[in-house]
Formats: sequence, structure tokens, C-alpha cells
Amino acid sequence: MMKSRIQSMPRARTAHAGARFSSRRSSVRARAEKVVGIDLGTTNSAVAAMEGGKPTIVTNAEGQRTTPSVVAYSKTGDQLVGQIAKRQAVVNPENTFFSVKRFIGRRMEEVTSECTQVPYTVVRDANGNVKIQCSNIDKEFAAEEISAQVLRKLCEDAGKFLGEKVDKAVITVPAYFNDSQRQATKDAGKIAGIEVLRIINEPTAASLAYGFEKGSNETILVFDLGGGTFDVSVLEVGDGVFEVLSTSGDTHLGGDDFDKRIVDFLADDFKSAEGIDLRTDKQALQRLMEAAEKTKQELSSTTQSSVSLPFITATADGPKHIDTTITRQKFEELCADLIDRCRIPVESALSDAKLSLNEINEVILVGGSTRIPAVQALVRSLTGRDPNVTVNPDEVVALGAAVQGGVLAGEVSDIVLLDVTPLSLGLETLGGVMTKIIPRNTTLPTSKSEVFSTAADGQTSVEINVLQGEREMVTDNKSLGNFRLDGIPPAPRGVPQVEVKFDIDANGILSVTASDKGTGKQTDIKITGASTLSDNEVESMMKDAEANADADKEKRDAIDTKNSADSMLYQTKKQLTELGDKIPEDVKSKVEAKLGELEEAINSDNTEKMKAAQEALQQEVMAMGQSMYQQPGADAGAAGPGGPGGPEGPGGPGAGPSGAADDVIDADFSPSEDKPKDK
Amino acid sequence: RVREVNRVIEVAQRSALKPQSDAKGALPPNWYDVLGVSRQQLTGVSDVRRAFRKASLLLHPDKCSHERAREAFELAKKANETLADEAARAAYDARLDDVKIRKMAVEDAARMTEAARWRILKG
Repeated sequence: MMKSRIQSMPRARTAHAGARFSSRRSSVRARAEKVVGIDLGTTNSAVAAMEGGKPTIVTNAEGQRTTPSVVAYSKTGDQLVGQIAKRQAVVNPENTFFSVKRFIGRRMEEVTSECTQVPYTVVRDANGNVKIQCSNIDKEFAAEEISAQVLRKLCEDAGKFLGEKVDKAVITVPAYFNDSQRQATKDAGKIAGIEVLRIINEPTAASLAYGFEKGSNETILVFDLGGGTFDVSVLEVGDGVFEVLSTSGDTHLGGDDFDKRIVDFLADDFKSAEGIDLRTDKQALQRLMEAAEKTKQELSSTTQSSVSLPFITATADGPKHIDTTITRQKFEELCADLIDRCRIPVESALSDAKLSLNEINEVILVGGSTRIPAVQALVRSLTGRDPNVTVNPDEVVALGAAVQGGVLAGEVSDIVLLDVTPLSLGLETLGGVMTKIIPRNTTLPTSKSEVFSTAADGQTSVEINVLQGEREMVTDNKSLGNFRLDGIPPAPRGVPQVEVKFDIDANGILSVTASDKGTGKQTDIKITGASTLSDNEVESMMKDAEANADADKEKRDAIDTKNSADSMLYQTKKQLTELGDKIPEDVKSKVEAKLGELEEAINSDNTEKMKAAQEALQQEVMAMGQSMYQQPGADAGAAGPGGPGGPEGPGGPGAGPSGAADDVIDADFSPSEDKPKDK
Repeated sequence: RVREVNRVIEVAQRSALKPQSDAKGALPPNWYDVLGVSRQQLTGVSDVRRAFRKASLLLHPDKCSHERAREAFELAKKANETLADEAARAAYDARLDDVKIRKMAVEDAARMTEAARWRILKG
């Protein structure tokens, strides 16, 4: 309470000043609404917001600073999100969905290896897109829907923490995500009922948080090894301008892969000893995976870690256990090739930025996997300097997203982010080759056009196939969509001139226009079709999610009401017996009548009735308290704990007589005590 | 901010020779004027970068809601690309030195409108 009151004041003032300022100058953006920054991670997510001019992590309803990106459906069909979902994964492996970020915006043929790494069932739908099967509620989910559940929880929790509704957000994605994965992330936000103001790159966000308070001009390299993806970005930071020079990465490399190596090692070991493949047993696999993650984390601070998995499976001879030790050296040996794969993006990011290593002033580590000593050693050997470890690798991305949210809301005035397109964009030309129009690492917004012609005599239409990627052949790159320009007057090949214009705005939305220079005829598309979901699908999922949220809220409300009714019933009964004959008979009978009503309402399980009965009882209890005070010779203190005034009422005057000086000290202390408690 | 947007666009339009029908005749705007730096030996890469950063904070569409902010920002971006790269800047300078001659040529062409039009039609 205290917190929101104190901190909202300067915020309100800035927002007001901002609005007045710009309305005089030009049309105004909507202001003063809270924009949160969300790091929607493969394994964990975090939320941050600008509080008093600084990005601050927002804790979730469980009081944690990060939330596992896990959604589960229990046997009874209840939806669980976050820590609570993660905790029950072992007993419910087929209906516990984690690492869905690996599937978002992907087509089935792109994720064949990922599919085998998860205990839940991933299927291909009619369009070749990925769907996740949930047996407990007999439904197929798109990855966007699962991510939307996580986003919804994050925003609801953030709303509670901040004391205002949160429905605008900046969400981060790996820099190396393609257009379709970005669009899918945006769709997830939409399904969750959030307006996604901007999708920004994770390493860029990290640099924003890092450079937010640093005034100096620096060239920095962000090394971001997360749960599922690896990104490297080189930025120049100075005078409040964050300019991305280059970006590179690997979308199939992350902490999950390290876990997988440990799982395989343990499972192979077990198989050779016992002849059983644990990976075919979903529950055993889930336990193995959790143990592997724990072991990996432990090995970052210790040199060996024991793995103990009793009753992992059973044979005719009885139960079988895993009880072994993994050394850090063994772990590094298992993951050597994975760690080595981190080299390539660092080198290509530097060469794209036309920089050499000694021109880099600072190396920033982001993502939980950068805690692995072998990864840090690699960074040290690659860059020849000790990486900067002042930022919290789990939180820095969300903090940076909050800064960008502040920029877009007009709250942060002296910072601008100049981001780039991470992958080249182009179109298909004769022979199935990709012709690049906008090269990778071009600063946004940007537009570029080129003139093309026909391949055959008398050709009257051309097909524009928009592509994203670095490879030479069309088939190796991602197709974002295609369209056709008709009505070209018949002419010998090579004569017609078709101008194709690519345009990416500051939001990263690509639109492509083709026009025939001869006739002036023009067609265009906005590339949103790159998403794996159609607008209609997103719309219906949004409605679904909303309906579910309403149902969830109702359920929650029913449970809350019942709980509070139960406790009130108990409290009142206790009070009645404690106070006994001190209560006037007429008051007592009234209270007892209302008590009976409430009990009946609880037994009938009717939420509305319970609420009404509670209210009625409250009135009578209050009347009872009053009558206690009016009684001659009644001890006010005795009524205190149960009475409506609470302990503060009688406590204050009670402390008074012991000395006036005490009172003053008390009053002095209470505000200063409040502050740290709230923080 | 609005003034800056208008200034950049105006400078770019004024300094650029109007695009000609053939690509060779089209000259880019005066990038020095766009960024507001002078064309001297003393103006190094770091000065260009600083000017570009200043322009970015003013002109980037995230910072300015003027409808032509994006256009102005892209001009500043192109100016930065040309002037912060030594080789590109040298080539640009050489072209700029050529401007006077070209300007005259263009004025000549304008005077001989009839002839010019005829040539285009014919081509």
C-alpha cells in the first residue's frame, strides 16, 4: 500500500508533464499507462516495470522474482501455471508443458529433434504446424496458447504487485528469432489479452539495462546463453543511444541441451548396467531431467555432484535406483562440443560489426547458462578479458524490456534504441536462389527497393516469394509469405520492370510492395502471414482464454469465499464460547441465527449465499463488539483481538500511560519500519 | 523536434539534385548538412557519430511522433553510414566536389528543356 502511494506520485507528475509537453508540439501518444517488460524465457520468465524512474523486477504472486515458464493441466482439468505446475511435473509428465518456446512459430519439420526431448506429445496439425497434446482435458494446444497462459499469469501478478491493471507490454525474444517466431510471440500476447507494444531482442534488452545508468561511451558484446537459445550482440552505447552493430546466434543451443547430455549419460549408464532404457518411461525421464538440471546447476559452484534417484524403475528383481556422482570434468567432457559451438556466433558477430576483439570494452554475460564455469572460460579465452558479472543474468533482460517500455510510453526521455534486423530479407529469383534486398544487421526502420524482370517471353505475372535467412538456396531459408503481381503487358523476357520494395518499420513489421513500372500496377502484402496461426485462430484462442480466465476467476472466487466463510464461522464460534455470558442474551441469539445461516450456505456450497450470510454475520458481530464496550466494567482489552477495531485500537491507548516519550519514539519509528518491509 | 524533422527533410531536398532519368545524374543530399556537421578535416568519425546520436534521440520514430520522423531518421542514418565510413566518405567527397560542375550541367539541361525532353522520349 505504502509503496504504491509513495512511488506513484513522481510517476504521475512526469506523465503529466510529458503529455503537456508533447501536446503542444504534435499529436500525443497515449501516456501514463503502465508498460511492463517481460522476459518470456524458455525455462523461466521475469517481469519488470519502471518504478520511480528505474527498472525494477516485479515479484510474482508466490513472491519469486522469476516464474517457471511451465503450464500444466491436472487430472481434474485444472490449469496450473508457474512454480506450482513445475512442482507436479514428475507425477504428470504428459500434461506438463515446458520449454514450449522451442516450438513457438515453428513448423513440425523444423523441430524434429526437440520433439524427442520432451515427455509430452507433440503432433503435427493439418497445416504442418506444431500442436501440443493434452490428454487430461483432451485438447490440442498451439505453442502460442501455452505461452499465453504464462503471459497471462505474469501480467496478472504484475498487476497485483503494481496496483494497476497491466495490459501493455514489451516482450523479449532471442535476437536470432525469425519473423514467424516473433509474430507467434506477439500472437501469444494477444491471446493473453495483452497489447504487445514491441518485440525486442534479449541481448539488446540486456544492454539497455546495463547501460541505463552508465553514462560512458562503450562498445559492448552481450553473450546470452539461455535455456534454449544462444545469442550474441555487439552494441555501441553512448549519449543515451544504444546502437546494435551486429547480432548472431544459434536458436538450437541452450541450457536444455546441457541437461540432455547429462540425462543421456545417466540413461546410457543405467541401460548398460540394467538393460532398461529409462527414456521410454515418461515419469523416469522427467525425474532424470530434473536431476540433470539440478546437477548442472550444482556443478557451477562445486566440482562434483551426486545424483540420487531411488526407485527410478522396477524389474522382476525388485526396485532399481540410480546413485552416482558426476564431476565437473565429466560434465564438461559431455558438453564439450556444445560449449565449442558458442564460438562461431561470437566470431561472426564481431566480423559483421567490423570490429576486432580489442575494440570491445566490455563483455556482458546474460542467461542462466553463463554461470557454467566452462562457458565463462570460453568467453575469457575468446575475448581475452574477464566478463562483466555485475548484472544478474536472470533478471537483466526483463529490466531492459521495462526500460524500452518506458521509452515507448514516453516515460524515459533520454534513451533510444536502434535495433537491427537479425536476418537478411529477400525474395526468390530464377533457379530457386534467394536474392537479398535488406542485408542482416541493417538498422531499423529501413526500406529498400530493387527492380526485377520476367524470366520468360510474354510472361504476364510474377510471383513474389518473400524469404528470410542467410543461405543461398530458397529451400534452406524461411518463406515468410508470397503474393502475385498480375497484369504485366506481354513483352519479351527481361523487358518488363517490376520494382519490389521492402519496408520494415520501427516495430519490425515488414511490408513488401511490387509494382509494374510500365503500368503502375501495384500489389503489396504486410507480412503477418508468417505467423503459424491465422487471425481467426488467434481470435478464437483469445476468446477461449478469456472464457477460461473468467471460469478460473469464478472458481477461485468460490474457493476464496468458502475459505473465508469457514474461517469466519470458526472465529465467531470461538469468540462466542470465549466471551460466554458476557454477551447479552439477545445479541447472542442474533449472532447465532446468522451463524446458522452461514453454516447452511457453506453446506449448500452456494457462493452468493455465503457472501450474503457473511456480510449479515459481520453486522451482528460488530453489534456484539459494540455491546461489549457499552457494558459497565467490561474489559476493553479482552474484546480487542476479536473486535472490529483490531489490535491497534486498544493497543495504542494501552501503551500510552507508560510514558509520553515512548509514544514519540513509537511514532518516529513506524514509518521507517514500513519502508524496508515494503521493499 | 518538429523543427528538426522539417529541417532535415528540407536540407535533404534542397541539397539533393533532383533525380534525373539516368541513375548517374542523381546525387544524394548533402549529408554534412543533414547531420549539421562541417566538411573539414577536423570533422572526424567521432564527431559524425556524436551528431548522429543526437539526431537519433530527436528523430527516431520511438522518440518523435511527427509523421515524417521516420523519413528524417532514415536520412540521418544514411548520412551516418556514408560519413562514418572513411572510404565511403572519401568517395562521397569526390562526388560532392563534382557537384558544381553537375549543377551547371543541370542548369544547362533545364535551359534546353525542349532538347532534353526530346532525348528522353527518343531513349
